[in-house]
Amino acid sequence: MESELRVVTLSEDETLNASSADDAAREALLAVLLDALLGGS
Amino acid sequence: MTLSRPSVKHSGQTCLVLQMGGYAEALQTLMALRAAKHLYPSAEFSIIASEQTASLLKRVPWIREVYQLPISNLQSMPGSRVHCLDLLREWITPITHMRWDLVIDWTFTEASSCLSAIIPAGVRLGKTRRDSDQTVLCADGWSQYLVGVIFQGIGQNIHLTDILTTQLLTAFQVHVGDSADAGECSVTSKSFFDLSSEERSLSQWGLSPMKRRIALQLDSPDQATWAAEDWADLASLIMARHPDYEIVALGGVATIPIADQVIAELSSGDQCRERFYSLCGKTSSIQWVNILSQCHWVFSESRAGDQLASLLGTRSIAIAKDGMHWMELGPYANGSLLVEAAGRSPDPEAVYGAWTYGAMEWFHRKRASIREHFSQSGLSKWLSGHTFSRSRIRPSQDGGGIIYEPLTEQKLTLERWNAMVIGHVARAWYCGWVPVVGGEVSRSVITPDLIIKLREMRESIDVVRKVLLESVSIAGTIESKCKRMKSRNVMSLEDNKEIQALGERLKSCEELLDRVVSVHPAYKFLSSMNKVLLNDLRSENLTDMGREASECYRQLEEASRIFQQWIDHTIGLARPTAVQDGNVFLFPMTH
Repeated sequence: MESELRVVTLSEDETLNASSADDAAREALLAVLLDALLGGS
Repeated sequence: MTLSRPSVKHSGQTCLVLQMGGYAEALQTLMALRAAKHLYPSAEFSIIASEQTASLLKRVPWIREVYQLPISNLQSMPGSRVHCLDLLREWITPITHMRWDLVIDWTFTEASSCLSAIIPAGVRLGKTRRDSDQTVLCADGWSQYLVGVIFQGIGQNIHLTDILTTQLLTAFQVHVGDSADAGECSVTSKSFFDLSSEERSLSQWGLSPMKRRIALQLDSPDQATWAAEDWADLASLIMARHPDYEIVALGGVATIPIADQVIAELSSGDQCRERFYSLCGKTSSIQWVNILSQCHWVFSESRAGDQLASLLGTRSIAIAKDGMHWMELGPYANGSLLVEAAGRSPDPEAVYGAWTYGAMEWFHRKRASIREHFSQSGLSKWLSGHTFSRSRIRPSQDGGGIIYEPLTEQKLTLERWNAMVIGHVARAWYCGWVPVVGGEVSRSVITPDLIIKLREMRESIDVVRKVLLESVSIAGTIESKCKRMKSRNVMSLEDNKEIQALGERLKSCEELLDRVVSVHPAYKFLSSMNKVLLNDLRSENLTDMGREASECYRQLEEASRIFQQWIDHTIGLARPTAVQDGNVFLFPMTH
């Protein structure tokens, strides 16, 4: 069981309640995503 | 890959896989997803795919949705960056509005980690980004292993398909529950992709439905293992001795010049040119699938070709590139043959001999050795300098996964020994199943050179373990020290100095570990994983960071113990043993 828990490092409580990044962070990520897609990385 | 038949139904989990790579990566992904789909039939998989692979992925009947990245649209977008961002936002909005139980990044790029962080998900696997500062980290242990080991080019012996499958199935097991476990069956199939009856026809290519057929899967010139002359030699050998076969060359547009050269070579003296068809650069992805599914064998130097043959159940002969980590990238099917030559590409005659050996397995029932076969075929001189392996998918009770069994005696090199140890460590870290130390090593394959190197390594492994134990202790001290502080935000100058000093000691330990690695590159695994594990610490306060760091060093110390056990075991195997009385036969003396 110990080894299984290591596989998914997010705990279940954390992950099941996880939500998307907030709006500002999302916009920042979209900008990075655009650069990465156009830059081929 | 063998799987247990499912009998337990789970409520449908929605899974989004980010696979934005080329054909080889997309096909590898399908193999891993198929395994999960088999064990968790109610799971629904969607994929974000590259423009190259999207149309092929849409032909997999059990893939719910394929979202194609709008790269061309973005590149051709006139006007400002704002318009590009609008387009990207418009493309991603429907995806973010879905409820995803699992988002799996199997692309491991800057772009995919952004997507993983933007799309709301219950659980994430692969690369993602921290909510706090959007820095990149791995969401799970297997991803850390991929980043710290495989992407660093460090040899290990677990196939990438097995890693992805295990990563996914473990997540299902933890978050959904056990799958049923009864029986074994193969997940490959000629009908893996959904093709219409018209699409299954070969007539447009002039191929005969009555002939036996071999595919040559060429790779682009910058990736190719073989020159056109090698392919021509192989084709000549096959066609001269096997008149019942026709040969089809397959590959992308970049392979057209190679195929043209092969034809030119054949036409100069070969009578069998009419049985050679070059379809390089002429087929769509679906036509490629159709033709390969109707071949009896494929000779492949391309990873994508190996993967597709594995999915379709077409037997393959893999022509290994020098230095290729085929234990993690080779064909994933029973009975594939792999030919490699140290420091160069394999000779066509050796590849041909491996094929005839594989094709005649039904006849000799695997009782004849490849050495005998080469001798009987007049190919003995092509045996030396090559190594030959046959793939076998292990039953799940033996740990599952694919292994490549040597067909000729292969002495154990340090690189291969190291790959076995690292594979063992990964299983100990991430799986419930741990193999016996050195269980796959026999005395006969150990060389004096290996023993000398292992003896040198044995002296250093003690140092490594002590450094890691010291690191565990220092990180633990940081944790307990910070725990005793009254405030998490303010600390006294004295405390600050003390914590800084502890940090310096940790840094020294890391430098010492790096120095050992510079002397013994076999331990690079430890320093590389050290960096990944520490990068992926999630906590934002010193107390928790100390605790997390301590766990990381403990994990590495466990790995160093496994290294030590392997070194001791291997050196022990090579030790001279006393002859047992029962094994001695005394010849009667006659005069």
